[in-house]
Amino acid sequence: MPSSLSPRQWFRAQGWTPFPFQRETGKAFLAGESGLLHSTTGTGKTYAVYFAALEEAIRRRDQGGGMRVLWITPLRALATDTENALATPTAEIWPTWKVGRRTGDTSAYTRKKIAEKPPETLITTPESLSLLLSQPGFLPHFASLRLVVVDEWHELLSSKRGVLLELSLARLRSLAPAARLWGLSATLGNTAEAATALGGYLPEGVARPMRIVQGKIAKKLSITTLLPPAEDRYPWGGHLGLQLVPGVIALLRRHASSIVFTNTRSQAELWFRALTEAMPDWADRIGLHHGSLSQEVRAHAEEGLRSGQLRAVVSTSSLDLGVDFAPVDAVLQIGSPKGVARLLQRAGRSGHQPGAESTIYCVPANTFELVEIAAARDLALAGKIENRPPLHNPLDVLCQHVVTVAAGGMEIGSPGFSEETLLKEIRTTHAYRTVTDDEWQWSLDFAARGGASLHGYPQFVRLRKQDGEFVLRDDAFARQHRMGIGTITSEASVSVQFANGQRLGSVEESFVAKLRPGDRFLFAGKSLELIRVRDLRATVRVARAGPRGVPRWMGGRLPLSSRLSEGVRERLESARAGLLDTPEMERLRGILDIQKALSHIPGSGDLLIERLTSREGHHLFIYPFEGRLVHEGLATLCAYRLAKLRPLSFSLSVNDYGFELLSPDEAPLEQAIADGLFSENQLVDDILASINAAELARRQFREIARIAGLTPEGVGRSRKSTRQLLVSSSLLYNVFERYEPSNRLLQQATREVLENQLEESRLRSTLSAMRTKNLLLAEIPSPSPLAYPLFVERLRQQLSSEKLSDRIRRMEVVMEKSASPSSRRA
Amino acid sequence: MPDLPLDLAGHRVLATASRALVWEETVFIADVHFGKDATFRSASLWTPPGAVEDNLTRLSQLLRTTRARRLVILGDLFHSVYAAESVPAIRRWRELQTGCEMLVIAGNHDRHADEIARECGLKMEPEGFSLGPWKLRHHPAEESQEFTLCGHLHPVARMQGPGRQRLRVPCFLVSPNQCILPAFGAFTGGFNVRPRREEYLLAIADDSVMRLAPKTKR
Repeated sequence: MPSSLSPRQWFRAQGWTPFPFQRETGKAFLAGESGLLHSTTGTGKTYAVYFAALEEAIRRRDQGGGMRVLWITPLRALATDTENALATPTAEIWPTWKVGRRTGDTSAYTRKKIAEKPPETLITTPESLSLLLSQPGFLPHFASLRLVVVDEWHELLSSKRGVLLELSLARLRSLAPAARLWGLSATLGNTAEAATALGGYLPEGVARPMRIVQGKIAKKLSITTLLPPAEDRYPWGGHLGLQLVPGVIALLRRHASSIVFTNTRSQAELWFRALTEAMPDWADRIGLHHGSLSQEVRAHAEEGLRSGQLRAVVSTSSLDLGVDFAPVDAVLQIGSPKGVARLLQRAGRSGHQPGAESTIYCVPANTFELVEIAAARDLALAGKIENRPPLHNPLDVLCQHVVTVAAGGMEIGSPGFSEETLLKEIRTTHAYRTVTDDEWQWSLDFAARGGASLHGYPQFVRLRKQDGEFVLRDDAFARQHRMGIGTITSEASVSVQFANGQRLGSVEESFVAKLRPGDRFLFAGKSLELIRVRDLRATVRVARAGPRGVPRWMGGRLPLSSRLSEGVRERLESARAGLLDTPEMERLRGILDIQKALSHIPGSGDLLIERLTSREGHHLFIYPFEGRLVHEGLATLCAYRLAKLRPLSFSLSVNDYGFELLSPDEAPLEQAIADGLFSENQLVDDILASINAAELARRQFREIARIAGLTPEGVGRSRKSTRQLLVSSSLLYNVFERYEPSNRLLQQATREVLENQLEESRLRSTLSAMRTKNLLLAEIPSPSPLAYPLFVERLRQQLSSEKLSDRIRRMEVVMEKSASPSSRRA
Repeated sequence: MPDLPLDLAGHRVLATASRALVWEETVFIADVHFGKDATFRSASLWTPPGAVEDNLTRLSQLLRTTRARRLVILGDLFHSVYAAESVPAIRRWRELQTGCEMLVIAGNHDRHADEIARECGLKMEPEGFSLGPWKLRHHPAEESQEFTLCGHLHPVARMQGPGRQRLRVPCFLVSPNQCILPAFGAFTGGFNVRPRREEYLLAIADDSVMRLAPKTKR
């Protein structure tokens, strides 16, 4: 069939001019090259690669009948948008091609149709791709691919989902030899590394050549801060900055459409409620969007924004991405963006047409966030963006992939895999380039037989050897494995729904566990009353009175990126010298004066420690300004080392600027510093020895256990047996630690805590920097502005070197509030 | 002195750090949950074996140090029918404990327990079975004339102290006519309890038992 319009004509018909980077991408693709195209959101990356594939179709007079383009997108929600964005030009330029989508949301009927005859352009997610690779019948369809696109690669890069995709791409390299691979990414600090991780390695061990194309057009960016009222001189403790609601409302009314981004789901709920209460006339003009809401609730918000029915949507990062998501007039960021890349990404949601200006209004959630916003602007304008390091050697993902390949087969038409061939292929990925024979053997054994402790339990045999090849035990197990494919772990979640079955979304089990029937909470923008909880379903009704609480979700808080931490230190350095040259810094003058009067403003070369005695005990505030991840590790380490000198119990709080150690008895700080409180000696041993690290490892273990297939999805959820299968991941961790301490997944949990959560290498360099810094020790009579947020923080971890019985002796038990009159005296 | 002598309804008993109650020559424990790990394995949840051996070792130690002539398990000895996997080990262990009578009070996880218990050489008794001055139950009683010993709850004490210290430890929950025992099993979770005015908690602090101070209002 002849084409009605050439890609170029179609492009011009939309009133657009191709940019040089779009032409460069097209040329490279047609010349057979693979590559990575990076630029800010909304600059036309999607069409740059897709039109090249259409151009090739025209040249080859492609009659279709098989997959040509595989489009991998990180979010299911994005798949719909992508389908719309690609379907229109496809129909008008090369209508022979059809566009379809296969994700977790796709109906069984459509899945079956796609399996029989996939469309020329198939849009999917990393998990669904892995699933397709586990189906022997689907493998032949990959052979006709000409283009594989990985959209929003920066989102996947530093995650296990990215590693899972690297493994799948390695499969495609042999199954689809004619396919070129193109990544689309926001600009990163480590773009070259991102390209290498995507491209993988050739069998001879050199990185596959990847052309790096830079989207040249820098979108005009304006970053404005909504300043708190001047009389509000102290960092307010409520964290949420709801004081700024009137200012936010004024901005919303001024723009035709806006997105209000928050950093956490709880914050989104609270802001949505605050805005709708303050603007009754906008009750049905504001939407809410976050990852725990049901598909219908989210679709309502997206659709409303697109059609203009909604003037604003309050959202978490669930609306960060999106190829063609309706551009809005203004973007508001509640709280510090915590990273330069995130600021740019979110700003890019506004003025979405290439060349249009992006506007973002930052709304600080506490006064000190003004520094972060000023620093983020400095870095954004200087183009200094964070790195996203790719992950290395996660054995849990490898275990899962091994079973996937056994299910789908290494080659078309032959089941299973030979050990040698698969290992060779796995070593062509960036993540497993250096996997040792030993690690490989362990993973294979674990995947095949359940590892050392479970030998002899037939239900854990997953693979068997047949003519030298590893094949799957049976088909029933293949189904179970497919259910569990993926690397996103969810906390055990409870579905929230009305009595008529209408689903609102889900909250974490731990939140529901604390509620009793009749309790009210805020969710999906509504005040809800709990009726009952049964079988992981919470039935609710709309409450007559206001909510008493908001659900919190794990992993809620975004840490300050190390680049932005650096920016904050520089900003404080110049503030100390009296330079307050932005509106944000000028507004901080009063607070900085108080900080200076009570204590010090730390410069880049200083390490500030503040000491305070209060009714609660003895407080030490230490400010390395390295972000909360590093501070979590440092706080644990310092508490552990102090507690080694004499029996002490600490409660710890951390934020992005520093950490607090609170103890009933005074900690020997001076002696500890002299003894190497900040020394790198025995760093790893000391961290591992601290109770805290073990707690963190327990949390990590839940995710690892699920990915490796230890706790398969769907199992333990069946209604009948739930009761007997209730277990916390920490209990499971204890059992492993006690009865199979050599399990490598336990070791991986510890390693991931050290590397990812505590950023061991950053911890090391922070310690070495702390030792060379000029120590400023201030005795403060009351919390300084810097100390205040740590002082009031309620989420605390504990570390103790005292005997349990000594600690208990000082403690009191929380009593039941009894209804008997005698106990009612206050 | 790790264990704590108590007066329950005028009778002298000993609460031990091994999570048992000792009265004369009888030892009471609750909620062992044998076979919980096997239940998980049966559902393809990866759990290394070892909890059975661990529980048995601790039980042997307990019976040896108390020189008990009678062991009473207040329900939930077995987690589910999958405990059958450990019957040979438990039976072998039972045979070694000569001169010790063993009773099990029926409990909610014990639907299949009768048979397993018989195979292990243990005697089942119904909820509310009387032994000396005690009423023996698995589930806590709402009201009772006689003093009740029971389990089921897996009680855990939550404490607060100066310097924002917090702690959670397994405990006994004692009220004027009832004592709820902590879970004995190695692979069991816990439930936070708050005592009423007339109740008190005995916490297991590693190797000792401590009576906890109630929170005084300020």
